[in-house]
Amino acid sequence: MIKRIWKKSSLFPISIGIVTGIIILACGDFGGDEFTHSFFPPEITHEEKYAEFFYTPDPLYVSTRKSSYLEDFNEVNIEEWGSYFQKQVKDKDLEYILYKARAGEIDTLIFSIKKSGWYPTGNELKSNTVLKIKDTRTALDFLYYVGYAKRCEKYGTYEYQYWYDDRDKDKDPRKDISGMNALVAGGLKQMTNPKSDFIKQRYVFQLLRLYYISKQYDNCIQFYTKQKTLLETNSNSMKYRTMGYAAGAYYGLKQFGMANYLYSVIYSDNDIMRVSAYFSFHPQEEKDWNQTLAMAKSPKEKAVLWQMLGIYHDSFRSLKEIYAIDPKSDLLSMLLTRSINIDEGNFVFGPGELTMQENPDSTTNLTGMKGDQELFRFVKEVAGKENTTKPYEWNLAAGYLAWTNRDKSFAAYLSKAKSEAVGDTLVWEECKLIGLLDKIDNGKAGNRKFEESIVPELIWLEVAKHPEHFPRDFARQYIFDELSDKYLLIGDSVKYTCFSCANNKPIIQKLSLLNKMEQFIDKNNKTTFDQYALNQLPYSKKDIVEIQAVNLLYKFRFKDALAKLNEADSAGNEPPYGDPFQVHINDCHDCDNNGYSLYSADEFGDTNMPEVNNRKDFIQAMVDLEGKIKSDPLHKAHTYFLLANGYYNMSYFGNNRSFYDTKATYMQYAGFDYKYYSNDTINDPWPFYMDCGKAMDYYLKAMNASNSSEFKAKCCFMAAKCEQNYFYTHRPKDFKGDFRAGKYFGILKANYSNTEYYKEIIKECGYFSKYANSNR
Amino acid sequence: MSMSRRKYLNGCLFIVTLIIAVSCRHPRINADKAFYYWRSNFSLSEKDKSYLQNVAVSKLYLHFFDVSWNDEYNKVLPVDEIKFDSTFTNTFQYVPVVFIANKALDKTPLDSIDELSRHILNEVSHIAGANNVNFKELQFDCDWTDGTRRKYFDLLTYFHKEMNQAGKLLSATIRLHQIKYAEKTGVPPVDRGMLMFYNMGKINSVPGYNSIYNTRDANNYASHIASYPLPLDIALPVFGWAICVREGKVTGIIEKAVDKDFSDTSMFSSGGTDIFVSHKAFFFHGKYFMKNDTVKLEQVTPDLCKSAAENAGRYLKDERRTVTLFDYDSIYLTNYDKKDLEKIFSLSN
Repeated sequence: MIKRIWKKSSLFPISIGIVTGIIILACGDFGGDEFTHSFFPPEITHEEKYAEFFYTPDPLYVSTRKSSYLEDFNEVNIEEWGSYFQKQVKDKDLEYILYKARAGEIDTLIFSIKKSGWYPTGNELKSNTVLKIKDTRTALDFLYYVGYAKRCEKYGTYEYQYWYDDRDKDKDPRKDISGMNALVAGGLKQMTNPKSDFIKQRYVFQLLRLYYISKQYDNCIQFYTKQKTLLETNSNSMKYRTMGYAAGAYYGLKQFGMANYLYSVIYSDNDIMRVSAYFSFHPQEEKDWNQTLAMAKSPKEKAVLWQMLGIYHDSFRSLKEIYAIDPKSDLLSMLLTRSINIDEGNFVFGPGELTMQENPDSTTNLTGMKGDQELFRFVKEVAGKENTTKPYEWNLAAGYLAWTNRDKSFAAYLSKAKSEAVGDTLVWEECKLIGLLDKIDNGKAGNRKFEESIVPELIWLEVAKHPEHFPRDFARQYIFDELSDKYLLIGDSVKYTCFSCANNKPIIQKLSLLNKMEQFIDKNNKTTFDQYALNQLPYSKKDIVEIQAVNLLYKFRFKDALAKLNEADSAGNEPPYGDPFQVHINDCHDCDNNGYSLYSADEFGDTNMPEVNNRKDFIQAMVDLEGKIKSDPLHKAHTYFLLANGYYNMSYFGNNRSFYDTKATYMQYAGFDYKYYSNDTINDPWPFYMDCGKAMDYYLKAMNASNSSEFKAKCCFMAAKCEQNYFYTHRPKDFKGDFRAGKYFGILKANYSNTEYYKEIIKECGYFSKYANSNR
Repeated sequence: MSMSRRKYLNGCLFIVTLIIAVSCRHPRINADKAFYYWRSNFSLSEKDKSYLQNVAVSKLYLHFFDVSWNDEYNKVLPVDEIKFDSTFTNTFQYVPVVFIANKALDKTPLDSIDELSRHILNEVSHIAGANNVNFKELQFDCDWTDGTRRKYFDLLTYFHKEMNQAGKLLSATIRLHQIKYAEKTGVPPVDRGMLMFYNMGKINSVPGYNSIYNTRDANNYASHIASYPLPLDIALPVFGWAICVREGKVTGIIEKAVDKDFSDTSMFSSGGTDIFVSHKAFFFHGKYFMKNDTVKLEQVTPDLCKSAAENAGRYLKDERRTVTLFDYDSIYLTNYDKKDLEKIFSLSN
């Protein structure tokens, strides 16, 4: 599904930023975030030239946008100069002269050639093969040009620093208009000297760049027009690089028709500049677009313009236009895949993205929604004519669209596509996949024949080595979504669970379902489809048992939880995060986990603490402690206290909230903000694990059952902590601050201020210390 | 007492009550009157100056630049920097405004916020210094999110310190949802807030629904204004735009659009009040229209703006503030006469 989320911008309207030569539409925050799911990879075209322009939510399909184009032509330049010297100068020597040598070194080389016998210092120059060129005029023309180019370089290669404090350190040379004008004057004179058109073309390039940078757009265009014949002789990179500056100049003068035409020529003919030309192409009004179209000198040029429009705005319209111009055009393939991928936004949805309520016509997510019928008709028509360069693309596209339209002719189109693309594994597997999707679409859940027939193909999808770009993962997700819907409809909650959980949906924690899942796992005579479904379930028997046990544990049904854990080996073996029967004045779960306390050695120390090595031990200890209340009434207070600690520590606020964690359950509110949350800031009631009520009950029971003031003080303080936790989750909206003294702080102060423990609390607990020192 | 006498007395009482009620509802303290100036080239002709002075405008908020993320350069950069022409004088009080796109904050690591702040500060100082713009207040505009709040507030903290040391004020634009959910969205660490009393609804293609300003949306939020902890200036809309819609989805906006822009019947036909439908595919104002695309024109008329002003006045605390209009653009302002503007600036109807 293609999602478009438009974000509202700064109130303030949307702006258009212009960066030299390249026009970037800057949308502020008013941008589109989108992602796409597809069964139709554009790579079926094996198109390389225009692969960057396959459909994608990103600026480019293959690569990311570049921040600098400065080095794009380095290799080509060396290659072209190599041809100029008929390969008599080594590439590395050319590279040194062109990109590394200082202007002074170029002068030295010139002197060396002119005054034979006088050699420059430095090995790089001494051994440079340009000095060995017999036709010294050829070498000198080159060196004079390079000297000139190096003087132009600071203007031509300057990359604008956007932040003032960056650019202040590095003065912008482009403000030096007189410097550029002097170079223009010098260049115009100097370019008459060389005998070779090749070098003259390069002077023209330098001059056009200077005109463009200094914003002399009229001069730039006039000079380009004057030198056009020269630039088109012995066509090389200069033809397109100069054309780029001319296009920029036209754009600067708002002559969009011509600017866009030139950009389209570069886009079509120059591999290196294709992407930047594409980004620069911006028709503004219908009039200038029509002007551009009228400038096209051939059907091919016209088709290129339509292709560019297709990439930017309207793939299907362009597809029709280009097909009308030339059915054999190689510009059709990319636009065909774009049109299909865009159309998929109407009917392909990712798992769970479309509810059955939204799609009531079908139990499936896909075939209930229709794509563009005009596109479907057109693709069928072209496929039928078989008059394109790659008919298989059209047959595959027609087959795919036919299938999505529940048109049974899809199989015939796919069969034709296979016969036309012999040995093309991506196309063949696409055809096979569409066949499988159709089978699943039409199959009946619970029908043994259907189930058995799809297993081999599902396994093929799952484990076979597929060609690159084959949409295995999306197909797999889609199929699981389809199957889970189908089994839900016939009331097979087990298979529904297998397939929906395979797509990362949460398991429904209903006891009856979990029991069924257990039985299904234990079932002896599974069919191959049963086994396949079970293989997709991301839960083992142990996981299912633990989910059930944890649900019982948090209903405080300790015995039942224990019995459940005993049903699977190794269930409940996770170690505790800290000692679940230990508590402190200030909670420090990580300290408990590390086995030490930052505070007094053993604030609630006890020699008869239950030993807990895992979750099962903890539950067993709770069972034992419950039993001990009756069996050992003498130590009732102490037992109540330990039970209270257990209840406290298994809650969100305790050191073993991880007891709740299983593959399907976890405590939310990990980032619970004690200073912020109130009843008004959450929509739903607080989950049960945020409640310390049970712990509080037991602290009060312990307090009542004891005669020791010290012990009572401890119980009372812990009750106060439970009371404070309640406050955190029920704070009135307008309450300022993060603490309110409750009933048990009052009791502590009134009744236990003479205990040692009271002094400890004053020392450790800032809230209480503040409260105790107040006059309340 | 005769019946007629009783009626007269009741009438007097009614009038007195009404006057008191109106006095309570509308702040009496004179506001500083201002405009946002949101064009990239700052140029005020003598005619502009006398127009502004005639309606007693003393302050202009100048869009200095945007701070945005540039995909191509992979950097946070300033764009759309203001350019001043040679006629600039300090006739008015000026408040530089910097818009920060959320993506720019998203892409800046928290520990680089100070560096970004320095860049922005130097940029503002450079533009102001190079053009002799004196200012006593700097404003930031950002529709911060949960994800960018911390970074944005750190940036504001940096500027708050810098501005206060320089004896200047720092303000930030506040959207209505940030007022209503202040606990959740946080209150920016600035001296004043500029409440944007518009763009509160969802931009959509529903005919008759004005997403720039409509009373129903405003009232959903407005009752929270009085309890907002920052002193508030207020910005009211005097602008319009055209919303471009394809198959029910908004595809873009054409700024500063008026109905005559869509009068070419070879391209558009009327689809109802303020609605235009394209009957073929074409380029138009840099955008591409497909057949059956819809354009919905939204404008804030003087009456609607007066209603917004009156509504805002009802909820704002009675204190001195700036009332500013967005934005200074003759296309729409020609519809407003002096009396309209006086009423709007006074937040009364």
